[in-house]
Amino acid sequence: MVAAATAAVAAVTAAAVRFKRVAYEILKRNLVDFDMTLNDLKIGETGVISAVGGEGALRLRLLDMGLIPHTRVQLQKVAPLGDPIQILIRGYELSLRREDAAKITLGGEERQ
Amino acid sequence: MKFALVGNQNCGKTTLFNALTGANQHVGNFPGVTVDSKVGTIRGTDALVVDLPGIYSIRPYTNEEIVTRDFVINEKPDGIINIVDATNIERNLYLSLQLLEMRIPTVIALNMMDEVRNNGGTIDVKKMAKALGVPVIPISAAKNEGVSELVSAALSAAKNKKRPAVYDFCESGPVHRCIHAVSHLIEDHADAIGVSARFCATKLIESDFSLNDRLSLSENELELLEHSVIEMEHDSGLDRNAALAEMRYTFIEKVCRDAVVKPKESKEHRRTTRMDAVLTNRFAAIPIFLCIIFTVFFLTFNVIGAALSDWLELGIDRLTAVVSAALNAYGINPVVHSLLIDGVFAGVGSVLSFLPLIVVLFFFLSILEDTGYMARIAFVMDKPLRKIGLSGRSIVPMLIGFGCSVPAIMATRTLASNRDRKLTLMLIPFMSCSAKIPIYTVFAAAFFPEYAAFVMMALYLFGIVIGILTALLLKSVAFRGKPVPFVMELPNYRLPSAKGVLLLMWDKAKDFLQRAFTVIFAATVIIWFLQSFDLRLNVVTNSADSLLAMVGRWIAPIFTPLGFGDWKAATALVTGFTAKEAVLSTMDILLGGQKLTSFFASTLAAVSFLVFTLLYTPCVAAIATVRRELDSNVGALGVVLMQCGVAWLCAFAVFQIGGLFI
Repeated sequence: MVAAATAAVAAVTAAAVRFKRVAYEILKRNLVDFDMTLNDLKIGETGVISAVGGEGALRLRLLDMGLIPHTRVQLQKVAPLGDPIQILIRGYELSLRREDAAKITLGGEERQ
Repeated sequence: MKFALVGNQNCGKTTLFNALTGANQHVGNFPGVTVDSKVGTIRGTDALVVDLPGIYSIRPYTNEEIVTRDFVINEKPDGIINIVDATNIERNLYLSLQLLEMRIPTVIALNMMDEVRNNGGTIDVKKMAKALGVPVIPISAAKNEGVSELVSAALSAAKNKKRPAVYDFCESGPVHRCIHAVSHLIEDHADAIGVSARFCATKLIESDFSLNDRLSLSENELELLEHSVIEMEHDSGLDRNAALAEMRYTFIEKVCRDAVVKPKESKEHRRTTRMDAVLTNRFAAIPIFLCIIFTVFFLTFNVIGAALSDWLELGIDRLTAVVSAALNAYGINPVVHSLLIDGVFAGVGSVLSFLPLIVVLFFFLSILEDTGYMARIAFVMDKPLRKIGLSGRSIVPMLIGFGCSVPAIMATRTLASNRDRKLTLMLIPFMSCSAKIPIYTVFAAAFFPEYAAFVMMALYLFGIVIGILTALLLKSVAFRGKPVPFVMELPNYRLPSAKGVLLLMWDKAKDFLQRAFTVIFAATVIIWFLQSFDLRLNVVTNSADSLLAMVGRWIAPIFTPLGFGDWKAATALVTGFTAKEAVLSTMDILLGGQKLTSFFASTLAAVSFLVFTLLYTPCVAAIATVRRELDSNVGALGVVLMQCGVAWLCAFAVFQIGGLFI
C-alpha cells in the first residue's frame, strides 16, 4: 500500500518535472528575443559564436581558449552529473560549466 | 646563456625539458616565485634552460601567468624556446604571438609532429617560419627527435640576438591603427625599461595595467591611450579584449590556411573518444573513478607501499638493535644511549617511514596526470565539489588523505589555482588518516564491543561532515574571492613516459626529505627530551614526573569541558603530535595496567576524546608539509590552530549536548 502510494507520487513528480522542462524549452525557443547560447545546444549539435559575455578572468580565459565570435563549436558531452559540458572547438576538447556556457551567445556567421 | 621554456599545458613541455637536460636539473629559486620552476643545463652545452609553468596566455590573473611574464621581463633571458603542440596548433600559437611581441630571440619547437604525419597531415615548416618570422623546428619530445636541431637553432638565435622578424599581426583596420598609435605613444617609456613597445601597447590596450607603474605614463598619455582604444572599440564593433583576441586568431587562421593540412581525424582523437565513451560515461564514470582511486589507494597503503614500509622498518630495527648492543657493550652513559636510540633513531625512522608511501603514491598520481585521466576526474567530479567552493580535481588529494595526509598535501600541487590549493590542504586533515585507525579500534572495542564497526563508520562520516562544513565556512569567510574559472582542456589520452614518472617520484622524495626532515627530527627529539627528564633535568624513573607530564598537567584544564581533563589524556594527545600511533602507546604507559573503560569517567567522555583525536591537528610531518606547500610559518600555524579549534568545539558540542540526553 505504502509502496504503491510512494511509486505513484514519484511517477507524478517525474511527469511534472518533465512537463515543466518541455514547456520551458518550447517557451524559450519561441520567444521573440530568445538568444540561443552554448548552454542550449543538445549533444551533437553545433553553433557559431556571435558574442562572448561574462567578465573579468573568466571572459579573458574564454577568449584566450579560442571562443571568439565567428567560431564554430559543437556540444560533445555532458558530465554524468549534468554539469559541466564538453565542447569541440578549433579541433580540441574543452570543458566548461553550464553557467559560463550560458554567457556565450550563438547564431553568428562563420568567417570565410 | 639562459633560455626560457614556455608553452601551453599538455603540450609536452616537461617531456621536452627532460629531453633537453637529462637528469641535470633542480628547482629554481627566483625572487617572488611561488610556483615551481625548474632549471637545468642543456646537454652538451653550458646554456641554462628554465621550465616555466604551462600557460595559455600572458595575463595578470593566475600565478602561473604572472611568473612567466615576470621571468621574461625581469630576468631577460637570452632566448625563448616556445613549445607548440602541432596537433592543436591554433590555440597553441595564440600564446606564441604574445611571446613574439616581446621581441626576444625565439625559436618555436613544433612538438608531436610525428603524430600529425602519421595521421596524414602536414605542416609546411618553412612557410610557417616565414609567416611567424622565427625558426620553426619540428620535434618529437617523447621520441627525442629533432631536439639537437632545436638546441642549435636556439643557440644560434640567441648568439646572434636574432629578434623575431614579424611582430605585426594586425591587418590594416581599426585594431591596427590603435596598436600602432599606442606603440608610438609609449615607445620612449618602453625603451627606458627595455621592454618591447608593441608588447606594452597590446597589454595596455587589453587593460592589463601591471606594467603601468614601471612605464610611468603621464595622465595625459593615459587619456590619449584610452581615447584611441575607445575609437577602436567603436570602429571595430568589438570591445578591446575581444578585438585583440580576434586579431590574433585571425592571423593564426591565415598562417594555418597557408601552411597546415590538418588530418581528417587523428588516431589519437578517435582512441580518446572511444575511451571517454566509457570513462566519462553517464552511468559508469563515477563507479570507474571510485574503482581506480580505490585501487591506487589499496596498492599504495596496503600492498606495495606497506611492503616497502615493512622492509624499511625491519632494516631500521635491525640497525637500531646492532647499534644499541654496541653502545651497551661499550658501556656508554644510559642517557646518551637513550638519546641515540629513542631520540635520533626513532626520529630518522619516523621520517623514513613516509618515503615509501610518497614514492608509490606519486608513481600512480603522475600516471593519472600524464595519461590525461586527471582532467576527466575534474570533469566528472566538478559539480559536487563546486558546492563547497572547490573544483573537480580536489577530490583526488582529499581521498588520498584517508591514507596519509603527507602525500595528500603534497598532491595539492597539481591543482589549478592557489586558492583551490590552500582550501584543499586545509580540508585534508579532516579525512581521517590510516594512522588513527588503531586508536578507533581500541576505543571502539573497549567501549562499544557490539557496535565497533558502526562507531568506526560514524567517526569517518563525522570527519567528512565537519570537513564540508568547514569548507562552506571558509568559502564564505576566508576564500571569498572568485575562484579561477573552470575552463579546462580535455587533452587526448597518451602513454606516460617512464622517464617523466621516475623523475617526478625522485623529485617528490627529495623534496620531502629536504624540507620535512629537520622539523620531524627536531619534534621527535624534543618529545624524547620531555619524556625522559624532569624539571631538574634528572632522568625520570616514573613517567608521571617527566616534563611531558608537567606539560600535560598544564594544558589538561583545557580539556575539562570536553570531559577528559585528566593530565594523562592530555599527555597522550601531546605525544600524538609526533605520530598518531603514539597516542595509544603513551596511554598504555601512563595507565600502567589500568583499564581504558575505568579511566574515562563515562562512555560519553571517551567519545568526546575520540572526536577530538579525529579532528585535531595531524602529525608533525603533515604540518611540515603544509608549511612547505604554503611556504609560510604563519600559515602553517594558522592551519594547526584552526584544526585544534574545530576539534575542541566539536568535542565540546558532543560532550555537552550528549550530556543532556544521557
